[in-house]
Amino acid sequence: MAEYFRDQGLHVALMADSTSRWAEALREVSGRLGELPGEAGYPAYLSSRLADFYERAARVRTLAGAEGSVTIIGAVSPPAGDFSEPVTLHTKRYVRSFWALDRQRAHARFYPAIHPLQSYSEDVEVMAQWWKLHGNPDWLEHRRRILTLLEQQARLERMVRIVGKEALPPAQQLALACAELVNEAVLRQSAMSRVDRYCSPARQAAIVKAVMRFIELAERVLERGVSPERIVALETYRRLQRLGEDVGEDRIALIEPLVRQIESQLESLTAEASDARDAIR
Amino acid sequence: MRATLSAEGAVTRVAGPLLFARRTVDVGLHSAVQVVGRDGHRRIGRVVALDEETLVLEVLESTHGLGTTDTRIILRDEPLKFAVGPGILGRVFDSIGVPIDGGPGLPAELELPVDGLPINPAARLLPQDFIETGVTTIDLMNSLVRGQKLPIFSGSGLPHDRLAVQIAQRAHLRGAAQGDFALVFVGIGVSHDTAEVFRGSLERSGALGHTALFLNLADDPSTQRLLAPRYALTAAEYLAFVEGRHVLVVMTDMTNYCEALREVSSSRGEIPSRKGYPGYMYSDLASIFERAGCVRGRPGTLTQLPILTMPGDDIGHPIPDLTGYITEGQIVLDKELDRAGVYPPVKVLPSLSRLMDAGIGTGSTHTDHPGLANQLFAAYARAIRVRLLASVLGREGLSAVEQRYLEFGDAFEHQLVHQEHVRTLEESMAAGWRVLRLLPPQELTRLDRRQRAHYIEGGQDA
Repeated sequence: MAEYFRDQGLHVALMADSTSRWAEALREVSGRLGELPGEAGYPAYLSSRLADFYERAARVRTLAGAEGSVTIIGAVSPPAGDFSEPVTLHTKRYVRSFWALDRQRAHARFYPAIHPLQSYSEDVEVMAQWWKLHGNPDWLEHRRRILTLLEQQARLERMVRIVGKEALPPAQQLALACAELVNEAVLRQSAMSRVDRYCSPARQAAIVKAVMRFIELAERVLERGVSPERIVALETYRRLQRLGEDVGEDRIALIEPLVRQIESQLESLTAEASDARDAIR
Repeated sequence: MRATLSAEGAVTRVAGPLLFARRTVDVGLHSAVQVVGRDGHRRIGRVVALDEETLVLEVLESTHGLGTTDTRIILRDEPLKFAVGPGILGRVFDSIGVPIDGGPGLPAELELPVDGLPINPAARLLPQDFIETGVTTIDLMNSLVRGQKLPIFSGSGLPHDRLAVQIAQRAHLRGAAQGDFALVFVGIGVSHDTAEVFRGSLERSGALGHTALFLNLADDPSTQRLLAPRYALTAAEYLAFVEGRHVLVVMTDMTNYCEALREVSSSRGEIPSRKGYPGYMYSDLASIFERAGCVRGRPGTLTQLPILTMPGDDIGHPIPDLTGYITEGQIVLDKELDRAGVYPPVKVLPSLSRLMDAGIGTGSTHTDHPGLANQLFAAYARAIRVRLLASVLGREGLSAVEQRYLEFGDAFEHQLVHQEHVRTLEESMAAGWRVLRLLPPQELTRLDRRQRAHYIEGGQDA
């Protein structure tokens, strides 16, 4: 049916939930046919059947000259969240973008529970071009910065488990706080809230810019001798965390004054720090 | 009435609960049969497989004493049916709907097929009315709604039977619909003493008055085990969609059901799939769980609370895995909490009710219910992370805020999850606010300004 609409020159999104249950049916029918089971009881042709399905996603020029497409978003639900089971493994061979839902995030009711480091997209460059035309020319740079920050957080958290948070140098303590901010302000939305459930590209861009500005300034301020605790205690840090909830689609303009406030609050922290240094001298 | 056909001397082989016969008459799959042995006793059964020459029958009673030459088969070309009628509540049945409480037979009003009547998909409604169970971790954090199927994943040695009975006794609806509530309780493959506990405690609390109890005992034939939930659900469908009640079906233990499925499948000589369970286990479980729901134009609803024990406490085992595919969430019980003396030992983080959002909040439970649940989840997840940290670093290595989280985690388990008595939703919410006050207010980012001012800084419980 998706292809039928595609051939009329429409862009179609096809959501399949869940391909694991479809594979389950494949296994059941194969068992009834008396075929020899392969990996985990699935028939040996599982991978080619998956390919048959995903390869039908395409962008085409129709005979009438219009452009149409089919985009497939398939959900896979592996038993006990084990990504090394056959359906997940074979699916990953054929898809270009992978969103890994993370158990730990889901348990904390962190929505959407997409794990930023396990997930990937092979179309980042293309998306960067799109964002250039849609309000965030620095998207690629922001994305890279956020991913490094989260990567750093994962590494530091392993270390914190051994030496404790207090033993980390201030720069690393700040990195942890900033990563937390990215998680809370940018990545987390609230499914229960009417305001925060959806986020338009314009609002996403505004929120990301505000958070990146905060991080950039916080790092600069840290170099001038302000402690990470002082930065985290700022009122704007809390406000950023609830930004998605407090600032709806119709109030995006309110983010701009918040950025000004961030700048002035961090500025005054620097001033205090240098005063303190002067006093010691 | 359909014609009754009879075949004598056609049986070629008897293997456990299965009877293999030459196909001398033409009947359809899943038709009901009666098998009469030399003792003259009529055993009921059904056709489970047929081909050009043979007929495989599943006998639902003991096949002891059945021979090949002197066994007579009586076939009716219609599916197994359960004769139901008013007066079904307050009664105790065996797995195939025969009263075992010493009372008279059931006055039959309708004969319904035990495999259920399919619900028109377009007539299904989204479940959204809250059921109060009296268990905080369910009511407050993983709410059950009418028409939902929410399994309890337990392990061996955990008090799931106690929890099942407690929910059975206490579950009720809020508001006007309270009187229409009925319960169908199915014990699948339970031992005699557990069966007595179920019957005794339902009787003593007076809950048996609005309950239909089905008991399939551990030493009943495994083929009966496969039918116990189906007979019970047929009774539940009658109560819900004919009599218009809100029915909660508690089924314990679904693991015994799946074991019976594996046993019968292998005696039929089918090709086993994962861990020896048949490949069709998913479809088979779905044919049970999908009988829950709300139907447009019918006042009643059917809610399922199946209980299963995870073999080896492995949530990736085929039984919990396939159940989780079909049902709308799960409640997970945990050994560690049980050992710590927490009852009910509900492991909150992996538990989930997928239909919760529709059933709680403004207009149904309490405006602040979703916010509170959300904040409790976030804070407890953080507390668990801090606990992991503390196990390596020791308590001294933690910051002041992290120490508060540790305290919160303990209080959460011992004051919120643990409960001596049933709690109303209001009492559960009050307990929730109390434990949240152990944390610094600025940590509670999932609450809005009003909630923080009123409950946390203002110290109000309601």
